[in-house]
Amino acid sequence: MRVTEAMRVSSIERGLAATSEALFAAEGRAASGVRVSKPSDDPGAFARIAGHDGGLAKLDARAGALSRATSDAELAEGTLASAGDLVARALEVAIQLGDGTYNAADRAAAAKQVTELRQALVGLANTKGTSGYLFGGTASGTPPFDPAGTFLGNDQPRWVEASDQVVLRSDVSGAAAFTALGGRDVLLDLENLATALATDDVAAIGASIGALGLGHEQLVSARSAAGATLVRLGSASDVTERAQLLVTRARAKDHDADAIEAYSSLAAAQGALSRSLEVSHRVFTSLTAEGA
Amino acid sequence: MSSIGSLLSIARDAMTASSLSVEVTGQNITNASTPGYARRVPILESNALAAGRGGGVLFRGAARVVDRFAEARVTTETGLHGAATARLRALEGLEGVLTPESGGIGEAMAALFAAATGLASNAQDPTARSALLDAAETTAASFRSASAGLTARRADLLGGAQDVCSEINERTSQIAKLNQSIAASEAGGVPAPELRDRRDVLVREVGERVGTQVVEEANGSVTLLSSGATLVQGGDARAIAASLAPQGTVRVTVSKTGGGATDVTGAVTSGALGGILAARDTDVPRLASALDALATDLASAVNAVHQSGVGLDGVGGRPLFAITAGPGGAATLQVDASVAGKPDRVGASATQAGLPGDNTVAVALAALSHQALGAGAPAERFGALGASLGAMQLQAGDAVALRAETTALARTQQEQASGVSVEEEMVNLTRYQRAFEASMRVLKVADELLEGLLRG
Repeated sequence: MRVTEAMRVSSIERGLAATSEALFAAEGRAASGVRVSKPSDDPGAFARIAGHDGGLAKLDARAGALSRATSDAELAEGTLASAGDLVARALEVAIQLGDGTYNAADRAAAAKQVTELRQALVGLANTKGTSGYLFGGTASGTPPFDPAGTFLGNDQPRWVEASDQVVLRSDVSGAAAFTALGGRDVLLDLENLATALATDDVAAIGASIGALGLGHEQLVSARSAAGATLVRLGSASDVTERAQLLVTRARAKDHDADAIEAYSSLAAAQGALSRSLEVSHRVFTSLTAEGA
Repeated sequence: MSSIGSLLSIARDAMTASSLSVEVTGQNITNASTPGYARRVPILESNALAAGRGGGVLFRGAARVVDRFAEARVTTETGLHGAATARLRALEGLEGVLTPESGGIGEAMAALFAAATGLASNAQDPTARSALLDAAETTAASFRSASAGLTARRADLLGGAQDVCSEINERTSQIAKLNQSIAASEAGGVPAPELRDRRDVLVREVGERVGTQVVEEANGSVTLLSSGATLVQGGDARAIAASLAPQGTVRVTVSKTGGGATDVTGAVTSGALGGILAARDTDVPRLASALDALATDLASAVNAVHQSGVGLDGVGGRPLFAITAGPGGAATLQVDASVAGKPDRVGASATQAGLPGDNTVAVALAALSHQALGAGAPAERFGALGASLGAMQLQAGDAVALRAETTALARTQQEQASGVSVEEEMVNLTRYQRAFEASMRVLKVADELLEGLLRG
């Protein structure tokens, strides 16, 4: 075989180009810590990373939505607890003032107290959360109860995505908590008590005790429902957080360069280029010597 | 006397032959790195020895050492290497168009569905509604940008094909002129190795740009055939041209001697021109088609859900996106004029009665992120599009590596025949020097014999 100068030079050029390219790629991986930054790095991994990115964005948004829903449900639970306390206080007044030892003046003063409790309850029923009024159903843009205690909302649910296939009701039904839909119209019962106290109608006061007792149970029940909603939202948040972790790990597996492997490759590529340069030097030295 | 005279002639001819052989060797050594140079070997012939005359060695010229088979292989392999390289170069920039590291279609679609989830959290919130419209516009813009990038690349590649044709025509014109010069020179008995060297370089350069077959004619000229048409015949060069066909693909033609042109598009598969055509009219349209399909499927799915919703104004049935389905659809994707800039018209609620807080439709919009649009969820479809581009690039890169190897092998084979080996030439130099010195010795002996005769 005849070996010519062009063959030697061409061989050196190809060898240097290959080792230099390998070093460039190894430097990139080691410096950035990224194994796949574009599709041609690994088409299959790129496709998986794209899927993971979409999934992570979705999970992040879902986590935010669950967090806001949880915040509202916590507020609703606390509000219902306060509402229950107000009705319990009114119930105490009714029991106390239903006794024959009190006179009309005492009952008139108590009527004023009950009216104030009712106004406070209207205020609680109109509590606003991160996504509008808590107890108005989907009519969340305006206060669900007017000052007279008339319910202006509805019982239509609002939803939050718990997982890819599951949606949960995120709101607490104000209709079930405060209106006759739940059994007792609590605000009306308070109004009736106030009227009975103001008119010194002992029989009507006695009748209110049973109604308020049922109303109190109704609020306790609504609070339990809010608690159950919180538990479900908490579970969904836990699942979402776990999914975020798993998807992040899976993404990193495809996307990130293994540090040890990256530095090993870098060292190997540096060694290969160094040897290639040494060989090139020797070949060119021998060519120069022949020419001389 | 006559035999001593012959001896003097033999010594003279031998010294001349050795001297000219040294010149040939020197020519080889000095051109060892000259592109296209084929080594020369001296043609030495012994002169028949007859009584009292003749004998010795004659220098008959310098022969150019060429292996036509190896030359043809180099032309073929450089053409295939040129095609693979041109295709890879055409595809390389497309990652930045379809799958930029940030701000691309994948991110935009993810942001769109995240905005839908945000809207579901508070369906009556004007900010959440505006955010959804902004995300929809960003998504549409990212599709339009990618589509425009692909269209621009196709336009660039048409320009590239036309540039390659100009380069081919420039070289075929020179080859035709060299054909004439070589034929004229060699017809007069004067070899033209330098002209042949130059012509071979030009033939190889044409071969890098378009697949070429070379046929050497008896008069020393070459006929260049490409893609079923003749590019050069004798002193006649025929122009190759690239133009835009009505269907938007590149049309390659070769002019005919009597006028008109032959369409050779389908046969252009090798050389840079072949690579450009493959990338422009096969690879890029395939990507554009996948992009259009994704844009159309996304718009259809989103619209189907959005049209089931009602805006805060109580009106339903409005699409979120407008698109002209079919080829080029991605370039037309935009937020529908009925909702653009009007957040209150976003259909987040399923019924008028549920306004403003009902978020049923917003939840359904958000759920589209993990529902299959044809072959997969939106992010998976985008990933598949990127993977398709990546696979094309890897395949093109592998082809470049393979063709670089086969081209190197072909060049090695060619070099073995035509290349200059300095070691070999140094040996030849010594050999011809020694021959010259020996001839001088013969001359000296003849001179001494003559002197002896004159004295005797």
